[in-house]
Amino acid sequence: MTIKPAQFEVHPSSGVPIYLQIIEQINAMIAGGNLDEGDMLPSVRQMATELGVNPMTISKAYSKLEAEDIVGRVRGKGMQVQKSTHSGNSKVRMQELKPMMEQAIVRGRQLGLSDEQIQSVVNKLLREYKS
Amino acid sequence: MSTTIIQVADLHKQFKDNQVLTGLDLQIEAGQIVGLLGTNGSGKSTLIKCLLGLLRPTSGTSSVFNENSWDLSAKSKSRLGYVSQEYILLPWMTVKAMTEYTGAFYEHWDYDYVNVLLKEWNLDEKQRVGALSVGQRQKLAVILALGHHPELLILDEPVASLDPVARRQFLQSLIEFTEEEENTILFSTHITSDLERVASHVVFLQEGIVGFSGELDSLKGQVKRIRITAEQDLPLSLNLPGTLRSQVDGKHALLAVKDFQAEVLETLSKDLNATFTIEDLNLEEIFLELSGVSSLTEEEITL
Amino acid sequence: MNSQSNQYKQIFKTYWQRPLIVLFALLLLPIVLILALGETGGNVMQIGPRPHAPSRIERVYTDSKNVKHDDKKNIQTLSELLERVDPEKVTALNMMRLHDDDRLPDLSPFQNLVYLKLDSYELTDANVDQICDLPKLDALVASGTRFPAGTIQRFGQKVSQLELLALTLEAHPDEIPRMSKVKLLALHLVNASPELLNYVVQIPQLEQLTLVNSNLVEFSRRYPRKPQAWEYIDLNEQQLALLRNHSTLKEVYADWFYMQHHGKFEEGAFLPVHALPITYSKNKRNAIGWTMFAMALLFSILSIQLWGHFISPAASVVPHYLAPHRRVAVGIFSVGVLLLWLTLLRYDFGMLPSFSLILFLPTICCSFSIVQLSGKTYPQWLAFPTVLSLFLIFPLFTEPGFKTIASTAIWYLWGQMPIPALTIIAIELVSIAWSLTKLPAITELVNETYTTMPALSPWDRERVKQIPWKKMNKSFLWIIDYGTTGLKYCGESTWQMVHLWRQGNTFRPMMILMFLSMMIFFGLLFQGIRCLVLGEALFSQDLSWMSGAFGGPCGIAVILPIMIWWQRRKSLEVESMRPICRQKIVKQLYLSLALDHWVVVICIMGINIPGLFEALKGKTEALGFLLFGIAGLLWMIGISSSVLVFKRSWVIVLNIFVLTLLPFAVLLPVAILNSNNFPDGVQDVQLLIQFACMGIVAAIGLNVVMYRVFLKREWG
Repeated sequence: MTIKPAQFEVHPSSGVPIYLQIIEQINAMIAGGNLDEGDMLPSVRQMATELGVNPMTISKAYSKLEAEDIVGRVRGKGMQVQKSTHSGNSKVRMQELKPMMEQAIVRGRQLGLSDEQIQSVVNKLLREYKS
Repeated sequence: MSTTIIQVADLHKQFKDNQVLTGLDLQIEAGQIVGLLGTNGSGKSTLIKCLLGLLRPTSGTSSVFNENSWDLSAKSKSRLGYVSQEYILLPWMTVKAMTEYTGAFYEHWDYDYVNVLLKEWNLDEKQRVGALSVGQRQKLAVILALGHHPELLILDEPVASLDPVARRQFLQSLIEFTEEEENTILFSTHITSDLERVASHVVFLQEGIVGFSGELDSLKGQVKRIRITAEQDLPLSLNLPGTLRSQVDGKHALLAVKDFQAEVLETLSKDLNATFTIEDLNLEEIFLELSGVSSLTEEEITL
Repeated sequence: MNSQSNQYKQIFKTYWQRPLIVLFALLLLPIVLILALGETGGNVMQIGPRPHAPSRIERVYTDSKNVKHDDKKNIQTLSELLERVDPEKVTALNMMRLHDDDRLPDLSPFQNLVYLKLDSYELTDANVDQICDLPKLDALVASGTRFPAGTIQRFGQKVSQLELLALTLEAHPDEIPRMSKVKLLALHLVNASPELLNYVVQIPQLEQLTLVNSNLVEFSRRYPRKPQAWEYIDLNEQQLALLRNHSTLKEVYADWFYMQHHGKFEEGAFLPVHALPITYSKNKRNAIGWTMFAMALLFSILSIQLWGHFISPAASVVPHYLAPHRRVAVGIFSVGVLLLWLTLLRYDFGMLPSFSLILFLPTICCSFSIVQLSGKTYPQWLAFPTVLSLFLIFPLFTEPGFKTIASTAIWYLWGQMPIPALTIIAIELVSIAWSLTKLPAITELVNETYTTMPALSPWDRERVKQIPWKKMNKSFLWIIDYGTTGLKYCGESTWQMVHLWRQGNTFRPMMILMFLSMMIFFGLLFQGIRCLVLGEALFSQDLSWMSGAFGGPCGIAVILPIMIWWQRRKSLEVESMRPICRQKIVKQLYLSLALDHWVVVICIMGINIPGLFEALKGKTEALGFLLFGIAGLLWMIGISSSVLVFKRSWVIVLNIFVLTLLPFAVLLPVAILNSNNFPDGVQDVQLLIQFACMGIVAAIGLNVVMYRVFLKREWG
């Protein structure tokens, strides 16, 4: 299955660089199951034309994803989603997640939410993004 | 390997008593799409005209394709295209005659490409140039600059008078232009949203010199707005390096920072026992912050 | 009141803040000074009517024996003339006598002779018979004194224009009443008796009388100088009455200096006869020209300024914007008119005529705008009298033209025609006032329909009008469109690139062809009318009107390249980015501009064709003129190049003025100095050639300088 460029949403005037927005959306799609291993990403040219942005931005996003082994280049065809092979044991990966979760929990405390409420939000999200 | 297409060193340009460019340095490589930002009067048009040899700099050097701007050879001129701010063409000619006339000056003029663009952009061949509306004239000027497939395209406020549809079409064609890897674009504008779409690099002119020059994405990474909330009153000067603007109000503080570094911020927040949120700024807000114009809070207005 | 005076101060400030206006004002100042301090007399031209020759007068000597060899070149005897030219073609002849005993030769071959001038021959009856037998003779100048009896009677019955010595007339008093055909009589007053006028008024049909003073006549051995009764003209009441009571006499021309000086000269005393001067100073005529020029400058200043203000958005948005501007303009105009009027009075012009002269040019411009603006057809017919009156002014400045209308013109200028003057002034004031009230509409019209005017506006950059191009007249566009399609890249050849650059202008050679054919058509028409009215041959020898005809187009042709390239200046900014290196662009543009002067060459040739035929007699003279022509052409190219070389409009205008005046300022004093040193002859021509060569060198130098400056021009 190939993703169509129309499924991406890009806001050039938000503070976030466009390539980051694209990376985030691709990651989200993979996490959410919309993109499976072996799927092809749209070509740089198609994305640029459809979204109305600089093709260099798109190829920058793709290169960054390639550097992290999330996607790989297939000669003649384009970018293909790869099986996620993560290096490092789970402890290291969990340590990576910690700061972001810390921010979320601090925010939850500021909003005055109880532990259970915070956890319910987390569970809901986990259900959405089934691995 | 990218080659330097445009090189400017210590450029000064003075008009009577008015120093417009005061020691400007700039370097643009091939393949970059550079947006030139600056307030009116900061010297954008002057810089472009000095680059093209339309104005003679008071001092300093400017070179394009490794040739002095004032004495550009015919070959260099055939590799660049220019759309001026006033886009004054020959008003008595028909559109078709105008394109053919311009084409007669160039050795490699692509008549088919020009005709395709004319059709795409809805320009009637038989109409007199003088009778076109401002937007149509602008489009024609761009077409005439693209017809010989230049490697370097320089545009001075190209979209100022275009409606959103025309603007999108124009940006689309710019994007198509950049498909050729080695094509470079330099355009000056104050419509930041267009820049964010298309530009890879931004040059920010402030008071006749370059205030910032670099990749757009890294600019967005460097300039941020930070809100700090602490348990106790915050000191008036927070001493964060690269602060552009600082507003301290009891327990809350709003900072605009250039050269944002996450670690420094973390250390500071630990020292002050505060939490912070980082706000990403779009190009317009970055422009305002870098220009030193802040959005006023209510208290400041009433004062 | 304070704010009001401040307002006026601000408006005045806008006048001297614009360099172009200051420039025009600076040009105006010397003109006013010339008028105020210049010579009012001197440099006279003869306007007293004398017998008139319709074409070139052939000067013939009776005999050439005993003549020194050197002088023989200038002498042409009758037999030589007959060899050269068919006598039937000669219409005017001047018979000169070399020796005292020469007799008048046989003039019967000249059957078409209209004008005959005789030196002081002793005429026999046979001579008189022969002269009176010439069928077409109408103008006779007979300076002899010994005529047989009955001569002047026969002359008087034969010709209508006669010039005699007063002595001759008085010698045959009884023949005078029988001189029935004489309408114009020119009398030389040398040795005349005090009762001369008693005799003159007996001529029955006399209409014009010219009294030529004795000091204009050369005295020879035969007529020793006696104390003169008519040394100066001083008419008493009885003589005035004689003139007044003559039934047909219309005009008397004489040198009224004595009577004017003693305050005795009153035009009214002569009425109904007009007393006119026999000579008129060219300075006075030129004063009229200078006045027109000054008014043109003043009017331009005010129009440019008013136009600049009235097209600004403030004019329609700000309340009470227009009125103060108008008042200031009227104020400046009135001051200028008053100043010029006072200076004109020095030239012996009456008060009313001076006023009417001053207002002439502004009226023409205002009536043009009336014609343009009114939608209805009736006012549009105003165009015809407007153009006609413009054409009336032009002949004033040519010598033959002035002479034909001299009597009316001088009578008018002396203020003796108050009612026509008042009418004219009334018309002028009405049209100027009308234009002032309609000023906003005028500026709007100009703004919307003219595509070239914006160059003079300070708001130039914001004005990019589509309306004129949408309304363009289709019928002439094909001329301009021709040659703009099918253009292909032609490579490096300078000639082809020059052609390509010129294709971008709106000027096409075809237009010149059309214009020339129009001129030929009108020329033939004019010649045909002349032929019908005057009864001359269709292609008579007198082609001097052709020079005049080419004069106007020549003026246009001189500024044609400037006009063409002025329009192109704006787009040259972008066009300078075409793939041609700077040196080559400059070279190609300069050559294009230079080539556009081919029209001037044609016009100059047209002007000089009659003169060329004459000058070719002396080949060195022709060479001198040719060299001068080349120098002039090169200098003109240098002047026109200012339009490309400089960026700002006022610098261009200033440069053009300075460069135009420079050769005159340099050459005139030199020519005046040298004309006193060298008599006529060969040396003059050598000097001419020397000057011409120097002129060519100077002109080439100018072009080199302009080219160098052009290389440094910033196109942005």
